Amino acid sequence: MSEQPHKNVVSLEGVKGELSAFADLVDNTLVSPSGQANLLYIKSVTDAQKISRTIITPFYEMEDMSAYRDYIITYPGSEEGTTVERALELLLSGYAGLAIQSRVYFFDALLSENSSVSQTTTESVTQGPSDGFTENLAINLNLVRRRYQSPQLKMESMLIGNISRTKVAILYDESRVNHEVLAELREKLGTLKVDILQAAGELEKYISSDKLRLIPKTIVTERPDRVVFNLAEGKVALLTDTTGFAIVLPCIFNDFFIAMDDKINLPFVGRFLKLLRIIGVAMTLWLPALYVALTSYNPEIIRIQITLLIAGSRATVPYPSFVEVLIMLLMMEFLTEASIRLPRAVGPTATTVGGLILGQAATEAGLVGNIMIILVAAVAISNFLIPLNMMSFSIRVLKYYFVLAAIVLGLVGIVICFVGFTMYLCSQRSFGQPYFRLFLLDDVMKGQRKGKGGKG
Amino acid sequence: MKRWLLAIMLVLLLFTGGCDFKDIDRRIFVVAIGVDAGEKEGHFKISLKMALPQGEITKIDEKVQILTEESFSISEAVRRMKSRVEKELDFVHCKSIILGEGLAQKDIRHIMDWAVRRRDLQLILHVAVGRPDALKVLQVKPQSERIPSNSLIMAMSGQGTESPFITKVFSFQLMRNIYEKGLDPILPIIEARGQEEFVINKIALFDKHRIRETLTPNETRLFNLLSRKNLRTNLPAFYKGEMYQYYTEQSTSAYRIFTPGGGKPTLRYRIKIKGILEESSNEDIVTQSLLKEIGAAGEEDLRKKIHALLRKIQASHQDPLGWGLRYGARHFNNRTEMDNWNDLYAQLRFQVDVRVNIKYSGVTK
Repeated sequence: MSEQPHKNVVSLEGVKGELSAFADLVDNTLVSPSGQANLLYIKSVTDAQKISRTIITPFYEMEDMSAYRDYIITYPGSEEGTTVERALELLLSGYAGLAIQSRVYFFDALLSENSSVSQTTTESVTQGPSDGFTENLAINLNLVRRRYQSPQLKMESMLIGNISRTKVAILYDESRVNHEVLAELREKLGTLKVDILQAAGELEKYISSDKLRLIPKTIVTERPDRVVFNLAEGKVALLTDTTGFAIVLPCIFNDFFIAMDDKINLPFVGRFLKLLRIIGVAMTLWLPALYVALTSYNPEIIRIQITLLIAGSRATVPYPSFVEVLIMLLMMEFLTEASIRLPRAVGPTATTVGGLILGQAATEAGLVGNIMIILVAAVAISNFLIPLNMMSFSIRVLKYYFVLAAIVLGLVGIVICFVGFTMYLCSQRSFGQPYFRLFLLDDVMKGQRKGKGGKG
Repeated sequence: MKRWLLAIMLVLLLFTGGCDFKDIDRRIFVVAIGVDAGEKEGHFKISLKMALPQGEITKIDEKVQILTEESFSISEAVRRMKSRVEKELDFVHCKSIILGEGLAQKDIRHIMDWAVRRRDLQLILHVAVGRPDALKVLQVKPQSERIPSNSLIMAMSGQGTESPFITKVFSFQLMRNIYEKGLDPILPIIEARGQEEFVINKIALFDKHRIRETLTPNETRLFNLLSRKNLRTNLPAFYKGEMYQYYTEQSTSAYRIFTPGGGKPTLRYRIKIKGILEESSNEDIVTQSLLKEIGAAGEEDLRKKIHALLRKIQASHQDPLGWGLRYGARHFNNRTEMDNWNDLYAQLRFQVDVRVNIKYSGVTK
């Protein structure tokens, strides 16, 4: 067989060229008295032990190169390299490439870390994968690579933290990524001077330039499928060692309201769920403020039935409406916060005792109105509709701004606050990308263009 | 600099007037106003019906307070009443004003002027005439009522009952019609029957500012048939000595004012009704041809009654249906059109075309 370079003939050098900027690519040359072999594999998807035991050790033990070659060929799962595409495919799916006597063989060395991968805890879905990131970077890379088998998925690695020396991996799809974003990120990480980096959220804080951050501008997620989904959209993922979370950037407001099972559900179900989430956000953000405004400034907006109901339920309440609202909201925040810290066994008890008994007792004692309890419950529940924790926390705090505005100016205050909030969202940029971008408008523009094309 | 401007703006916002912080439990909500003529000449007797909130929601028992005050001015009376309750009077849920019949026979303009100047109630207020007087109507407390004055509001606004005898009139509508040329105001009449019942089935025709004529319940229904689309009512038909009643599913009415060549000015009403047979005094099987006959009989009956109603309206020299306005708008010359109309109105002849189509016997056999 002729040895001239032909596109059908695979050489490890050629494959290696395709996989440039792969920080976890390993290229070894094995030399023994009987001959030499080149070994190429991607560290994060292959099992190092298996490679050492079944490839490297026999190489040094066997006397004859052709015998070693036969051993490799006959090993279950091995195959000979044919095309570069196939070679890339195999390498990315966990094979090790081995060049012996100008022929290339692929050896199955897939690393599967099933045992150590845990289930997601904060972003659960009803259907779909439940793997969550672990605290090991290599495993996390394995989780991503297994779901994104493309040679375009590049990885860069760096160390951050003078003391902690935390490994950080930047992942992106080279054909889809926005290179400006990438350059900005590299620059920011390069100039970062911290001693200790322990959590993804911490890194998120360092790479964001904005001082006053009301809302998260990067997604912190523990779901590999969300990372893969976002990588395919041309975003950049930052994986950090020692933390079970990945950072995805840049991202827009809308991204925070996508749950990973929206894609799995039927389209109309998915849209309904998304609508529910948006209504939930509106409720949790505005209900307490509206209560203050409607009971203390503008009772004309609600119907007389409700007006009298609220007035009746407030008859025994000694303090003005906003004190009532703030007391109950704080009580609710205490409960939520406490149930995170409490041991698992005690958690449900605490929420029951807190939620039911406290609420019941507070109304019976006449400290808060009945309507208030319903309202606080609705606010607490709807807050958890937001699939991503960072946004959920932001919204949780933001509602106090609205309450404050309502205390000062009533309904007018809420409107002013709403306008200000919208302006703030519109002025935000996440790594140069407009944060409050409406894809609806894009679709409309596209539709127009299509329409024009059809006419012409 | 920007920061400072923002801070100053925020501080300035704190001083915005107009909206002040007052908790809902420190307000008392006025749900209805009654106005009667006072004992002294030129005085008004203002009654406010106020809803008292309930502490226990599960044990709903409506609690009402009615305050009455006499004064030469309405604002004065309201201010005086403020010092008779411990909470702030709030008119934002006041949806009805009842004008006593005695007052309505004299002049309602003063009251209406007050009602449409108040910015908190000018757009939500329904107006009606109370018989025998406004206070008696306010004191009525129907058994079905759970929220103070709710039955009054529901009936006057048409949100609850769909009675063909009730016409709803907003205060701004009334005020507009008082000053409109060629369109006279009307008001529904609410009669109090004892302590627990009221009935609204008559209309008072106003000579701009006072009652000139009252329509009977039957006339009221026909009036509503002319002024409204799709009035839901029953209408009678007498055929071969038997009585039938049909229900109007759809109804439309349209009119034209014209002067035939050399003849007298004529106003022609065209009424179309699609109905369902609702009641029959005999047990005969209703066939399609019988339905047609009943329809024809109904047409004849309705034609006569509407004709009588139109003559009655003409005799009262009122124009509650806005014929003059229509005439003026279509014969516009900026000077004499309303004078022409006034000449024309007295000699107006009426022509009524009724088409009743009863399409279904109502019985499944």
